[in-house]
Amino acid sequence: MRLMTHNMLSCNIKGVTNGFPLKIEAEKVIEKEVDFNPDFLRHMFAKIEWKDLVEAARSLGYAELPEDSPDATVIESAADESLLKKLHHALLELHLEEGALVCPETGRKFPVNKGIPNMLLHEDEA
Amino acid sequence: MKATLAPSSLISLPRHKVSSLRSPSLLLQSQRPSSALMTTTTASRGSVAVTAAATSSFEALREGIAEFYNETSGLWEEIWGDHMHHGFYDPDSSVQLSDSGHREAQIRMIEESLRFAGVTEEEKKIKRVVDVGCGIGGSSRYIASKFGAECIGITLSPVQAKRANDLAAAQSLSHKVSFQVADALEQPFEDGIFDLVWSMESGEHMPDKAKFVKELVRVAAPGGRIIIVTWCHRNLSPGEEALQPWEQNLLDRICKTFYLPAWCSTSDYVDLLQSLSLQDIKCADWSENVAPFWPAVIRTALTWKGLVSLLRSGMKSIKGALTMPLMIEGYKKGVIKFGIITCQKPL
Repeated sequence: MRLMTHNMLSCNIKGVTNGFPLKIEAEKVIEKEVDFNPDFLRHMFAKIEWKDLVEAARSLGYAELPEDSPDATVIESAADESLLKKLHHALLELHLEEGALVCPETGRKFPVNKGIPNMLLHEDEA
Repeated sequence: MKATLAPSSLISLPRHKVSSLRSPSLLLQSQRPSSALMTTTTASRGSVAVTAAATSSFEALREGIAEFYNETSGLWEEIWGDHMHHGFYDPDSSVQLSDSGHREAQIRMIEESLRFAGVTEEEKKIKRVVDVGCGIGGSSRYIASKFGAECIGITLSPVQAKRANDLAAAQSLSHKVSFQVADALEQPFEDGIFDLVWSMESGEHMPDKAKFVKELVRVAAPGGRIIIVTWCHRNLSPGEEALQPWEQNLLDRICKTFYLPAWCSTSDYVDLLQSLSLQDIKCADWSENVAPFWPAVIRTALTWKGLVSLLRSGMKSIKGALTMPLMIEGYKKGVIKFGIITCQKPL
């Protein structure tokens, strides 16, 4: 599971109002190289929850992203791609292979096996 | 038959009372009680009570669907490729198509669906897509490539999710598409995050159509489009409360092997979307455009390769294959309809 995906997942157990973002318990993290595509990153930038991404990246052992969300103009400008490259690495190249995603409100753990999160709710949670 | 409509026109179908939306026919009722999978609810007309027995049947159905696709996905992919849906054909086309002709028809189904929903004119706005009931990700990968958008797919089958991710990696699309195991009735997403909500032939598996549609609407972004392409039964005539017993019996036999709960009609979906204040609701009956599909599937099953693969794949696959003629019968007799329903969430 990449962090791009994690940035969208939330816990929808009945009654939970604060199911996002899911905390990460990392047991196995791998890096998979992905072609750098600045246009795609710029296209997606507005949709990313920056602070959540920074924290999630730290859970996977990557602390290079700046704390505060960069200005859209910085991302748009073609000049300095170093920030974009860090975003690229955090969002697309770090993979949680084994571990769990944890609901911030209930503590319920959603297992991640072979890189695939299992978000199915139990009968009493729906 | 032309399958396109004028934009923003609402097809007026034979309408049954809105109260039938809340009838048990949209839940698990109408299944033969002897099936372990489907228990008859006793919810009275006008209520949406889902009994405890029905809830655990949902679990059983969910497991059944997951196991069915765990077992049969590999077989399907081997013979038909990565799109697990009907092809779109010109009506009355009598030419027997090659394998590649059918693959093209499956791609055409995606394109026709997007076109019907009016999506193709809005390419730049599509950044995030959800594929509800994604199979092994054929639609997701296609749509992500087409729009340069991010696509996330959900399926009940871990085997499908893994295969979908592997195919994405093989096609260098891992940065754009990802797949997880999740329930369409409990989508693990925040409200309003998807510019396009895509459900290609998965609606027929949903035991609670109202909840299914509510979830599709919930995760759609304001201004986002929802596309549902699904197997339905024919619309009921005014005053008609239910299908004829012989029609129901035909569907029951299909439900058992394909792990389907009770069917609903295209106009049931339209009613649901209207009740949720969606706009630009459109629907069409594409039954004539998919007519060559099941005969083609049966032909491939009867080839030497098909038969050997079926035997290797297991009982669920074999039973599924034996059920295919019933689908043809259902279409021919006007019981089964291939429906598309699309709409837009208000800004």
